[in-house]
Amino acid sequence: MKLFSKHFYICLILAALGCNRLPYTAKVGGQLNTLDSSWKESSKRIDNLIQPYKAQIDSQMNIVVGYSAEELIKSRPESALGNGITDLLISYGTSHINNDIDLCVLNYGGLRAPLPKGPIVVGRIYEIMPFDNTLVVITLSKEQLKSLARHILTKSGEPIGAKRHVKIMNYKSGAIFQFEEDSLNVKKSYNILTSNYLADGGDGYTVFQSKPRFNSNILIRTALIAEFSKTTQKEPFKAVIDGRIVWDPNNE
Amino acid sequence: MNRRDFILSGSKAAMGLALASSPLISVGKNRSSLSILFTNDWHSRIEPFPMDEGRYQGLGGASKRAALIERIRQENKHVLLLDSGDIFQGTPYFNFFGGKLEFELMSQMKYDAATLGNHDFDNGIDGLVRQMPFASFPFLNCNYGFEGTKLDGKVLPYKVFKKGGTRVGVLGVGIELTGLVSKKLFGNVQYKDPIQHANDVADHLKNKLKCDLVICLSHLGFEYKTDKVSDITFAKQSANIDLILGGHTHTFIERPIEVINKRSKVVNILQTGWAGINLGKIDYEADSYFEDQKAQNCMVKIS
Repeated sequence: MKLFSKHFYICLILAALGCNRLPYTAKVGGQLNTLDSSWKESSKRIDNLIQPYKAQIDSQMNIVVGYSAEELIKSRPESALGNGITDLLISYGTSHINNDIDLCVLNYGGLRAPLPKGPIVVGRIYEIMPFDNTLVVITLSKEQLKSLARHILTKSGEPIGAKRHVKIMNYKSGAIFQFEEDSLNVKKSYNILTSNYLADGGDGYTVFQSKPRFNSNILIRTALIAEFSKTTQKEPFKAVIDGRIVWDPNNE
Repeated sequence: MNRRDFILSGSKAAMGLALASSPLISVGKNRSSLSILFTNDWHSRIEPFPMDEGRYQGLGGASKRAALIERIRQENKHVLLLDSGDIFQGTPYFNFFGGKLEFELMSQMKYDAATLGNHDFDNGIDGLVRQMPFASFPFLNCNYGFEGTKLDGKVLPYKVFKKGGTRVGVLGVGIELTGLVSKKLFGNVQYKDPIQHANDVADHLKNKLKCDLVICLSHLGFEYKTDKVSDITFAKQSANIDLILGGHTHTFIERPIEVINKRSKVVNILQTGWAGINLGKIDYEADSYFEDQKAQNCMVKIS
């Protein structure tokens, strides 16, 4: 505290010496006021304004749609949340959109909240996926698939899922997807389930632009709610971290 | 007021307390003092984070923020309340009501101005224009071209506020929308070089309109590993801007970052993180002018 006072005097002096015609000026400081539980005061007026909106939302958002065995959070290169969500979308997409989907790709930035352990309410699905994004299937050639793998590695990993195990690996010669099913490694073209946002080239996914495309017009939230509805308290959702994205720094 | 209620992060709580009890500061309070309050990226976080959220549970909330702002206004009549964009998107409030409540709440809190973030285009230009009647404050941006869109004439490049004896010029800059927002949402909004346009406007504010303090609301993002324009690169190449209140990267900046601009003057950069977890506050004490940059900035380290 003493130190600050001293600084204050120094400033006064500087101002006085530096420019004596100046009405003295000083910036006192910047601070962040955290609105945590120790700030108890709320505004009645604001609460009243929010209330009717809140009532409409709560009636729908508090419905429990499923259960999760663990809290899932996102990280890079892969995470339980990213793997879990893309695996769920593969399951949904295969049964509702196209039974020949090879891969699901989302962007890390698009998963906006963690999934808590225990009951999952509708509101939580909105928290994770607030965007009104829909599911799109893009068809890529083998070469284009390599560009996709490279893009995902450039981003230090993104949420990816497949019907069975898939890996992205970086070699000195470039990045590739390696599917557990041998037959998938030799296909001529691949169907990628993704969001309309990425399919439009969002977040640097120019590899998806102007490619054969099927718009399902199904909201990603709708798909997630449908898949979570299959889980129960006894058989909750479980996600795995299984080494999908293998990054060898020696190959950089 | 009870400064104990101002919860700063970590050890700075003690500093805040010390600062408040300094007699020098109280003297300042009786003179013309200006508090700049600011938020960014509140992403429709109307209520505090839910209690199953983990890291941020219980934090934020419009009602608590409004109460805090009200308290600060009682203490100091010269307050400027600003937002750096991405007001929209993130909770069901946006999905259900399209941002109407966000703007109503900001109007109730008496925001003075906001800039536009990429997510503010998430319901398209039409979706943004539809909610604008609920905002009692102006939207500021000087590097988007709105000609031929429904936003034409609805966004100002800058605004000058008179607070006590001080003239404060506020301008806004936005991030390149291509690649972040679907083209069909932002339509014919044209992105222009933010540094050049901000410098032109800041020159006008400082030198023609004689503003004592020039603040830029930025949604460019704090810093990138790539050469993408950020608040850091912008600040270095800027002139006539004193303070950049940033957004987009959800960066928690607890002390003003100092950057030397192209005229060897200090520019301060601040950002509050996101979601209304924090209310940023930076105070200026002055008799009437904000001219001596050196004197200003040796005080910034406090807090």
